[in-house]
Amino acid sequence: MKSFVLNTQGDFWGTVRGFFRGLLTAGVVDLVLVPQETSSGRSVVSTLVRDPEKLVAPDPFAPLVLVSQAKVLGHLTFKDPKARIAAVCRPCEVRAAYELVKLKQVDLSRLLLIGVDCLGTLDPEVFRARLSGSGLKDLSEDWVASMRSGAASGVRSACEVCVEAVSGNVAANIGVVGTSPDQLVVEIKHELADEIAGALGLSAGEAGERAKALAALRTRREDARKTRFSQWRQAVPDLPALMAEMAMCLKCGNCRRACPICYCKECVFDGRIFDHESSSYVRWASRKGLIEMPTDTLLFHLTRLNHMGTSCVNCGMCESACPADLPLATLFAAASERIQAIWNYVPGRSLDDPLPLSTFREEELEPR
Amino acid sequence: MSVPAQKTASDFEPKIIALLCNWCTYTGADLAGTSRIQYPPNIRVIRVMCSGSVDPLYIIKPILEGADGVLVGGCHAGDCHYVNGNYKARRRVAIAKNVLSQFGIPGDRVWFRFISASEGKLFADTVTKMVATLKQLGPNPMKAQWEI
Repeated sequence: MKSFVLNTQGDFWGTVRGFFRGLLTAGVVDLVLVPQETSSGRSVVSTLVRDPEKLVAPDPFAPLVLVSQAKVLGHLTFKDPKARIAAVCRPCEVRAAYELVKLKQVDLSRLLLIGVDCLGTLDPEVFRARLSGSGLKDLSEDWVASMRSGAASGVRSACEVCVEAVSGNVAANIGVVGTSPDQLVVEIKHELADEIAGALGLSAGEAGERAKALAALRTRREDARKTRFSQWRQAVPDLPALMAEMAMCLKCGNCRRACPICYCKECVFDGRIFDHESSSYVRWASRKGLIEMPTDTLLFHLTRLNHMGTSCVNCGMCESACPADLPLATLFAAASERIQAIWNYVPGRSLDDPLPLSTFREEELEPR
Repeated sequence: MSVPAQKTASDFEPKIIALLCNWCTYTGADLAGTSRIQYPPNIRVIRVMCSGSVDPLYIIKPILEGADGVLVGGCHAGDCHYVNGNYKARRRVAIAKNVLSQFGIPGDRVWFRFISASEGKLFADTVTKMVATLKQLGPNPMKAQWEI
């Protein structure tokens, strides 16, 4: 890996823009997929940019993710896009993209993954509240300033216990953690390191405090994670307790739609399987005295856990999408940790680790 | 109400949903029947084409509805009619048991067994043992829950 420190000379956002424009103008890639400020200046959305002139306000650091970039990569590479694309992803999005590669939903061959330092993002309503008065620029400015010291406040619950601020599985990473104002760190570990550095005129250098700041953050988050999980497991030891937690579920299925791993075009819960016979409801109600309508709330969440628990990357998009604020990020992170432990599988770590459910060993899991 | 707890426990007859592979365990169960081997009548059999086709959904649903146990039966190692469905089933069942046990449903309520078409006796013994185990575990507490 080669590290470069860019001096922003008072124009941080210009430097960020210069980096992405450089990738296009130097011909490193044909297109760039990067979050940009919307024209209203009050939100940030992912954009696919071909024309360098249209790269006006890239803002990969803004603390808002509306749709996991991993899902976008699925759309982009569903068939060969016949163009090279640099895609900016946060660490959880890289992990999800890796899982989707193994699930044959993303093809990395045309993609150059560009990671970005991430200390967490905000829930949309928190984001909107913080915007009030000022615009995205001010919010991002403050956010980057606090990221430099390794701090982020008010992040989503999944982010509070996320230990990966920098992805190791990207061609290049742009970051600010542990830098001084006026610095932007670019780390490139791709074979294109020299080409990119040459094309963009980067000069080698390292940010002195970066390793220390990242290590401290990791320790802090690991502690928070342990505490969160043990509290959750104590509070929700059985199905009645889980039922109580899920009681507000609207059965809207947003969690599934927001989940980057739940890729099935025809989810079993969207099919006819759960359109039961009218007489079945009557029979069930007669047996138990009463049943909840519509049925199968808990079944939905537990089945989803079974289906995608091995690959859950703890991005927490399910919880952000939940209109009822169910503690889905904690449920899925805590439960999937135990599922993944059966095979010591770490989702998003490597393309060489086979998916637990796509492989098997002749002798294992005995006694059954 | 007025029935002593002791009496209720001894009267308890577990209800087991059995998902049996068409090629091995279902035929094994058939053999147990044609051979007149006696075993407790606590199972409700659902024939599936392969244990590997059993979505965890069909293991969790009966447990949530109050069934006392779920038995998944597949072919022996290397015998799967579809090459390796039974190995995949073993992993899926392991996940389902893991999830259920995280929420207080002991792994003993879900059994996965390799029983071939010629093992009628083994099938009968397996059901007998499972019924005994479930009698010790007692009724599935989910029977009383309606908010599922």
